[in-house]
Amino acid sequence: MSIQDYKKTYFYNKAQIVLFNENGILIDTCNTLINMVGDKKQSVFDNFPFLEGIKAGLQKLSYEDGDLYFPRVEVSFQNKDWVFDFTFRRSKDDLSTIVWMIQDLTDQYMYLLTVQQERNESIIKRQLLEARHHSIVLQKEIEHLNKIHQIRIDYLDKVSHDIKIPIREISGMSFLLKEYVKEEKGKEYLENLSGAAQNLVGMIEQMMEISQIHSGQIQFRETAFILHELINIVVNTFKYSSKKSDIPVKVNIDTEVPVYLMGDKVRLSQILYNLINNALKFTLEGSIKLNVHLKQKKLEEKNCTLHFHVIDTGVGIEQQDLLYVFAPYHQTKLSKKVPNEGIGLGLTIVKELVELQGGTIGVNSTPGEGSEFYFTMNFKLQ
Amino acid sequence: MKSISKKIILTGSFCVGKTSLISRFVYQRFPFNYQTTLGVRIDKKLVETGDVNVNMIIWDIGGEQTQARVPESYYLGSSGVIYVFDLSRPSSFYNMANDVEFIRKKLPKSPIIIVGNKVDLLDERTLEEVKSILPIEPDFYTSARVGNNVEDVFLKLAQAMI
Repeated sequence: MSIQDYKKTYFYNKAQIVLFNENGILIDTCNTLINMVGDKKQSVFDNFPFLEGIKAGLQKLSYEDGDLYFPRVEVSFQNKDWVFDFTFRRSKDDLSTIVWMIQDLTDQYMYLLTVQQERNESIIKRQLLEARHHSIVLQKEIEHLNKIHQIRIDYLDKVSHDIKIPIREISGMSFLLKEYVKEEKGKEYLENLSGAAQNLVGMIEQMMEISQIHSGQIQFRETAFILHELINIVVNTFKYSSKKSDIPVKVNIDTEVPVYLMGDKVRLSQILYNLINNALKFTLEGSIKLNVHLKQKKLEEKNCTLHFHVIDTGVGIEQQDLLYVFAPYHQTKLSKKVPNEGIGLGLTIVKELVELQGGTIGVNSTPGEGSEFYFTMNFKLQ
Repeated sequence: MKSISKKIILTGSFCVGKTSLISRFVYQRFPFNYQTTLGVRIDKKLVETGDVNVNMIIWDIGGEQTQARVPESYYLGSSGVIYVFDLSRPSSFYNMANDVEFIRKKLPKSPIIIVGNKVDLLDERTLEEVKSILPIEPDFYTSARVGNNVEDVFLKLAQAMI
């Protein structure tokens, strides 16, 4: 056999030409790779899913479009995996005929497949290593930040403790001094002095609390309590404290709300206190409502979810401020009539305490009409 | 009952589970060994949508890092697209918005279903974190290994194409 014959034979065995018309009827084929003799007078579109998918495109193919080329078509055929390149072209001699050239490139592509597979696996391994490295770096940064944070908390703790003692002394002394001051103006000044000192202590305690929450040091203690009693105690605090207000706080607990519950009663009191305190601060006339509804009760699992609403008839919150109402140190623009107290941590603490216990919290408000803060909380049934 | 044939393509980055999704859908099995798809493989399956039977001709396209590298001829005659990414591998979804835009321009009339695969590899918390950084919210979170939502993906696409 001459080298020319070898060459012819080699290429002859690597390619097949198929001719079919627009309806897919087989006109001729050399059958080098795929035996299609039996398919004569049948539509090739029906026998080859590949062709079925591009039937409309082939029917529209014109001679001017040139070659329509599909590289790397993986086909399982006659118990063998093949990788073909397909090329379609409208015949120049007979425009009703489509020429389909099948090239067997299995050996070449199988080599490429190995390379491609190794490349893909190596990219994934590299990405995993990068992610692991990134995670280690982040972990170290977190540890470093935690150390700094702990130093800050310890420092804040010490400073606040040191500050609270003299402030309490100021508060106590101003209270005692009232006995010796006879003039009304002097009593008023002392009252203001005592109030300012108490506010300062409250602010320091809030800062400590938010630091504890953010450092994950806060713990919740589950105890049994009677919901109605807890709410009464919170509401009565405002009746008898120095923050006494003329605005009434009306409580409405739905009858289906379970009375005997298990949960962190101290934190629940704190949440309700902060929300009512906030509502009172921004309400100059009207009333505050505290409504409690049952959202869900699962007797089998002995738990329930309650929905709390604190509704005021206060100054309301502008739309642009609603997004930031729970953000730390955020204070809305206040009406001139509303005293600007606090440092903007009360609602942040409430949100954190609700969410850390698996609840959700939100707010609706209309400027000039009032606000509604609502939250859900899960409790066990006694 | 009326029957129609529709070509669909599954595309996305490499090693995101396109072939596994097809294997789960067509043959109800999951291939545990990863074997890359070099070019394109074709499978068929009949999907019953109620009024119409859709004979799906499924083109499983080899994963590329961007859709621009997929041979243009592969898009020819596609009536629907399933774009797949790997929820556990961020590099497979960073380019998702550009890819989907690219496909929309190529096939403006074809519905595109976006699928976040390998959901079984993520715990609930990690899944929420991943969701928060996805450029586009997927239509389905699937697991080809377990079979979660796989049938629904193809059914939804079939319904969208008729």
